[in-house]
Amino acid sequence: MGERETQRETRQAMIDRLAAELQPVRRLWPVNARLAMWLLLEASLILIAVVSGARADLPEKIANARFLAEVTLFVIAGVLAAMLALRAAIPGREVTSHELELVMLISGVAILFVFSEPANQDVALSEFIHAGARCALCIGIFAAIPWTAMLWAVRRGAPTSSATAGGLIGAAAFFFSLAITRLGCAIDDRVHFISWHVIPALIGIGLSLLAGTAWLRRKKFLLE
Amino acid sequence: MERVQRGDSLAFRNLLEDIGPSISNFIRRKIADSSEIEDVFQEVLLALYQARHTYEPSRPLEPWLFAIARNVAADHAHRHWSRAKWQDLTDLPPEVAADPETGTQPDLEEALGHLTPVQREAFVMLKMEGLTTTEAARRAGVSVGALKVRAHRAYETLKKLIVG
Repeated sequence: MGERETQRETRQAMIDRLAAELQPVRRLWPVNARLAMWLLLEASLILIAVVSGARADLPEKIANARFLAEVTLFVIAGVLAAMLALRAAIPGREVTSHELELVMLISGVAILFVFSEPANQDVALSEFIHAGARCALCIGIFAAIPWTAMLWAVRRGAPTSSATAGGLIGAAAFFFSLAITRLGCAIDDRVHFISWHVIPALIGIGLSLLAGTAWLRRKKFLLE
Repeated sequence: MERVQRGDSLAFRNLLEDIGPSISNFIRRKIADSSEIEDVFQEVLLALYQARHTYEPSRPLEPWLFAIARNVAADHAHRHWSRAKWQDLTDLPPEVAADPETGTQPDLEEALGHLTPVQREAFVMLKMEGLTTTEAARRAGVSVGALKVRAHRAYETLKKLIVG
């Protein structure tokens, strides 16, 4: 009985302190509004990429259904991942396994399109590495700002699964980056795409998952 | 909850009074060790306080509330099992389910302690609280099929422990 009484008092003391420290909070914007802001950022990046360094044959490539489908699928996977990442930050609106599978399916189909590109056997190793490193760098650069913005947006919420949220943030940023880089890279060689576009993006998503695990954990509330 | 978001202390107290019993029951289903229930309850209160800005007034409170409670309880269980594994390596062998001298079988409460947290939750919701499978599945955040599997496994385990 004594222990129960102590527990009751501790609980009441805690409620008293929380109530005393209660401050007005700014509610999170709705998921759609935050998603629209983030997509605006991505659209700006696409515009910059197209204006400043699009491949010379972009109009002809866009007319190619396979190319268009590949880029579109990466964009759709990116939008979906972004929406799920923002939702993952709201308790009770967690991402279901079916939704995750859908993102994986769409991105998987997009990667299959990449595999269907011809392989160029006549590239010197030094050229392969030189051109590839530049593309890998572009993948990182185009993902950096959207990734940071999305991480900040998700951290404003209260993600209950930090690893999932981290992975989705990475997926959103890197799938978009894959689409943008595809519009700029003129090397139509599947070995190049896989080695210097897809693999760096997948590594980025993996690192994002780890970053999410570290930086999106539930913050411990400390009472003084 | 909207008033809580605006910083209304009285509304916050009223809310905690209203939700306290449901949160307590929920935690009791998740945490086997009764001595830790109060700690987890207080952790849930802190988490609710911290996450209050994430509540969307256009949506029902219950899923938001129980998602936070579930997350805190899962964190706690994870820490508990990590600690238990470490103690298993250094401590005594695990205790037996029935007393070998008296031959008594464990009662229901003891037997429930042998279920996994999700099995225990399914059993309590269906058989002790009388929820329908749909209601219980919604509260647990899983499909009806998944809940039925959990409940079935819980029945099998309990049958073995109690009936023998």
